[in-house]
Amino acid sequence: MKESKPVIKVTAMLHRNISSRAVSALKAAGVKDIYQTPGRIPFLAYHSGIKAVFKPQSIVSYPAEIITCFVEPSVEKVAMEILSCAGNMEEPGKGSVYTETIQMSSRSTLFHCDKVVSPINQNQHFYHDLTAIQCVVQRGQGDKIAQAVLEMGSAVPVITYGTGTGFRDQIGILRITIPADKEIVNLVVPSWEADYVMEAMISAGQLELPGRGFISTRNVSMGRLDTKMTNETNVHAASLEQIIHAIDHLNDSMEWRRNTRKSSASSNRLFFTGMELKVFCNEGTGLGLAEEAMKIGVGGATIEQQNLRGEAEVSKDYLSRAREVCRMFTTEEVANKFLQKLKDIGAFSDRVQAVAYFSEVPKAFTYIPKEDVKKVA
Amino acid sequence: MNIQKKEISLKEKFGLLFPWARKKIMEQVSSVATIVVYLLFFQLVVLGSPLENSAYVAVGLALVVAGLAFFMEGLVLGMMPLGEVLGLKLPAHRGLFSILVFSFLLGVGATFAEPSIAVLKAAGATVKAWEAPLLFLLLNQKADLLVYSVGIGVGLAVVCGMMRIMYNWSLKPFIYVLVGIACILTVVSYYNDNLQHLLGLAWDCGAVTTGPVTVPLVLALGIGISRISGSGDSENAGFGVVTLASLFPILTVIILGWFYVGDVPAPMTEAQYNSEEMASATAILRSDLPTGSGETEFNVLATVKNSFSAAAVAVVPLCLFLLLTLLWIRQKLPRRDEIFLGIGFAVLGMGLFSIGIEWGLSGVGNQLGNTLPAAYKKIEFANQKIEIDNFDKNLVQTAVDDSGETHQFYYRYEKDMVSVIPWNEENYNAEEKRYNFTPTKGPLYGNEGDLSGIIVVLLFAFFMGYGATLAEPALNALGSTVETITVGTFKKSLLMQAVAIGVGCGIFLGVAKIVWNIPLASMLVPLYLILLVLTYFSTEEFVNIGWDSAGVTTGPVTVPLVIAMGLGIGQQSAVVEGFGILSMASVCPIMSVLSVGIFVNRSRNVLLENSEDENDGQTPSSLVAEEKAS
Repeated sequence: MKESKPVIKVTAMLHRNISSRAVSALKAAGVKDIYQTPGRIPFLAYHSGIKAVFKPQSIVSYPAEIITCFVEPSVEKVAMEILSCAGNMEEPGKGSVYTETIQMSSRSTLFHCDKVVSPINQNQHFYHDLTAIQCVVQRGQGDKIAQAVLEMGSAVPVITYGTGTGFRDQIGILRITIPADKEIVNLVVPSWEADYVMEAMISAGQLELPGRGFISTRNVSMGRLDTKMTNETNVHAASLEQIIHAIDHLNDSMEWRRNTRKSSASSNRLFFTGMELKVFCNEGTGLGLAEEAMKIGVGGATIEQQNLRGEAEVSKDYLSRAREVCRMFTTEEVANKFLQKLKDIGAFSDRVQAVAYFSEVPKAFTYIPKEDVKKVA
Repeated sequence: MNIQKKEISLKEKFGLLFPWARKKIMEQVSSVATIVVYLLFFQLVVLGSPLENSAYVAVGLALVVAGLAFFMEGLVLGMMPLGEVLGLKLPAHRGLFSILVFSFLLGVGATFAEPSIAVLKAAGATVKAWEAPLLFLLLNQKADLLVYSVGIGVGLAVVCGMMRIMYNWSLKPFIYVLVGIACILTVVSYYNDNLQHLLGLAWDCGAVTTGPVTVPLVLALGIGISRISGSGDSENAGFGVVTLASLFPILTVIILGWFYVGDVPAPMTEAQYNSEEMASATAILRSDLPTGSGETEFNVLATVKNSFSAAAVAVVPLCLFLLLTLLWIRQKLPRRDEIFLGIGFAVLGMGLFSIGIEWGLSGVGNQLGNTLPAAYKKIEFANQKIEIDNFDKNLVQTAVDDSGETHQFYYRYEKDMVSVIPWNEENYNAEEKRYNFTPTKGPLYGNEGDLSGIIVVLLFAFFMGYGATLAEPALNALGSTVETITVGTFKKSLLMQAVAIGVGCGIFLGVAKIVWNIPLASMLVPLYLILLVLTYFSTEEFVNIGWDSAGVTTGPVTVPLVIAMGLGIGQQSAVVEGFGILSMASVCPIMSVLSVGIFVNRSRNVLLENSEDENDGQTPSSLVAEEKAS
C-alpha cells in the first residue's frame, strides 16, 4: 500500500463489568481514541435438575464490550499489559486481549495513534502465533456458530451486531424484503487450530450455501486468550480452565494442546485470500461510503456501530462520539482505488472523519456462485 | 445513489416479496394467537355462550393481524430510524434549550395525537355525577383540561428524560422522588371524598399515555441522543423517558383535581342531586353536557373512515414534526424512500389494526365482559327480553324448598329443551295476559357470590392480561430495542414473558379490586413501596428496562379488553368507577421485570465472582504483587 505505515491495533474483548476499568486504565495511560462496541459473550450453560431432562445444555450470554485502540508499534506490549492488568485477565473468564499489525493508510487529522506510558511494570507473558477469525452471519445465527466453537473448547467468541449492505442495495425499495441485520462472531484461536475451528464454524452456519455468511481470518501478533467456556462450577481445588491456563503458562505456548485434536478438517473447500479494508467514520456516513465502494466493485460491506470514548477532540461539526466502522473484503487493487476515491470526496476531513486501514486476510470463505468459481481459482 | 441497479425479473420480485410477507404475517399470527384462542375458548367452553357476529369477528381478527404486520414494519422501517437520526443530529447542531423545547413539544404533541384519553372517557362512561362529582366534571365538562394536564405531564417527562440521557443521570432518583410524591398525594387525596374517586383516573392516565406511536419514537430518539452524548455506559441507553411519561401525568392530574375540588359539591345521593336546593351547587356539572352518541350503529364505512383518520392523526403530525425539525437543522434523511414507505405502512397498519380491534377483539371482549360475571352471580340479559303473550297463569307451578318455603315457577319449552323458569308476579300484566321474561345466566360455578366463581373470573383476568400483552405492538417494539441495545443478552422473548406475566397479575389484582370494591390507594401505595425497594436493589440497566416496560404494557390490544371486562364486572358489582385496573397492570410488570433482572444479575455475577468486587476493585493477583513488592 502506498503511503501506509504500520500501526498496532489493540483489541480487548471483555465482560462489561470490567470494561469501564479497562477504558479508564487506557485513558490514564494517555490513549485518546478508545473505540467501544457492545457485544455479548456466549457460554455453554449446563442445566441441572428438571431443566436438564429437556435440555442438558444451552447457550447463555453475558454482556460484553470490545475495546479497540491504536498505538505505536514500540508500545505494543505496554498497551497489552495495561489492558490485561486492568481487566485482570490472568484469570480465566475475564476476557481476551490481542494486538494486530495493520497498515494505516489514510486518516483524519483528528485521529490519534498514541504512545502510551505505563505506570505498571509487570513482565506479563503473551502468546504468539494466533489467528483472529471473524464470521458475519444473519441475525439470530450467531449462537449456533458460537456453540460450535465453544464445544471445540478453542476460544470464547464475542458476538456483536451489525448491518450488511450488498445485493440488497441494488434492488431499490424491494431491499426491505432482505433483512440487513447481521451478527458478527469474533474470536481468536491458536493458529494451528484455526483451520479446524473455521471448518466447524462453516459447517455450523452452512456458509457454503448462498446468503448465509462470510468468514475470514487475520493474523494476530500477540495475545492472551480466555479459556472459560462453561458455567460449570468446579468441586476441585482448581477449575479445568485454570489448569489449562496454568499449563499454557508453563509451556509458554498453547502448542501442547495440539495433539488432542483429530484432524477433522478434511476440507476441499475453495478458500480465497484478499485484503480487509476497514473505514472508521462518523455515524450515518458509513452507508454512503459503502455505496461509493460498491460503485467501484466492492461486493458489499458490514457496518458496525461504535462509540468513541476517551479524550478525543469531539466537536459538533467534526468528530462525533457516535461512530461506525465499515468492513469490506476486497483485492489490493480495488482497495487502492477506493482509498483514492475517499480522498477525492474528502472523507478524511469534513463531517466523515474517516480513518482507513488494511489488514491482510490469509483465508476467507463464503458461497461463490458456480460461474464465478473459475475466476477465483 | 448511483449504484448500478440490478435488473430483476417480476418473478424474482415476487420471489422476494412473498416469503417476506409470509414471515411478517406469521410473526403477528403467533403474537395474536394466544389471546384470540384464549378468548374464544373462554367464551365458548367455559362460559358456554355462543359468539355473536362471528363473521365480523373473523374479519376483524384477520385485520388485526394484517394491521399489526404493517404497523410493526412501519415502525422498524420508518419511525424508529427517523427518531434515531434526529436524536443523533439534533444535539450536534442545536443547543440545549432547543432540544428541551423540542422535547416538550414532542411530549405534548404525542398526547394529543394518540387517542388514549378517549379510552379513559369510555371507561368513565358509567360514572354518575352525584356519586363522584369531581371525576364526572373532569371527564365531561373539563375533559379538555384533563387532556392538557396529561399533555403537560408527558411534555415535562420527555424534557426530564432527555436531560437525563444527555447528562447520564441515573433513573433511580427520579423514580424515588416522583413515586414518593405520587404516593403522598394519593394518600392525602384518599381522605377527600371527591378526590378519592379521581385517583383511579390519575394513575390510569399515567398508564395509557404512552402508546404504540410515541414509545418507539421516543425510544429511538433517546438512543440517538445517548449515543451522541456518549458520556454514559451502554447500560441506560435511551430508556427511561417512557417511565417518566407514565409518572408525571399522575401528578399533573391529581394537581388538576385539587384546583377543581372546591368547585364541586360533595358526593350525594341521586335524589339530592335532582332536588331543587342543590341546583346551584350542581350547576357546574350540568352545563353543556356532551350529547352521548349512545348506541353506535354498526356502520362499516364510518368505522373504516374513522379508523384511518385516527391513524393518520396519530402518526402523520408527529412524523411531520420530526421531519420539519430535521429540515430546520438542515440535515438530510438517509434512505428517504424507506422511511416514507415506513410511515405509510404505519398509517395503513394502524388503520387496519383499529378496524380489526373494533370488529374483532372488542367484539369478543364486550361479549365476554357482559357474560363474565355470570361465572359467580346471576346476571340478566336485558337485551334478550322475551314477551310471552297469552300467558296462561294456570301453568305456574309451586315448589317447596328444604325450609318449607314455597317458590313459584313454570316450564319453558325451547329447542326441544324444557327449562325451569322462576315465576315473578311483578312481570305479569294481568290485563293483557302478557308475561315479560328476561333470560338469566349463572352463577355457573358454585352459588351466588361463591369464591369458586370469582376465582374463575380472576383466572380469566390473569390469562387475558397475559395473552393481550404478548400482542401489544409497543411492547414488541420495546422488546426488539432492548434486544438490540443489549446485543442479545436480554432476549425479547424473556422480556415479553416477564411483562406479560406481570400484566396478568396486575389485571388479576385490578379485577379483585372491583369485585370486592377495595380502595385503589390501599393496593397501589404498598405495591409501589415494594417496587421502590426492588428498584434500590436492581442495576441501572434493569431499572431502565423494567420501568419502561410498565409504560408500554397498556396499549391498543389490552385496553379495550380490560375496559370491556372492567365495565362488565363494574356494572354488575355496582362500584362507582371501573378505573384502576390499568394502573395495576402497570405496576406489576415492573415488579416481574425487576425480579427477573435481579435473578439474571445474580447468575451473571456467579461467573465473575471469583475475584470481582471483593477487594474494592483490587484483584487478588495485584494484591499478591503488592505484597511481593513490599
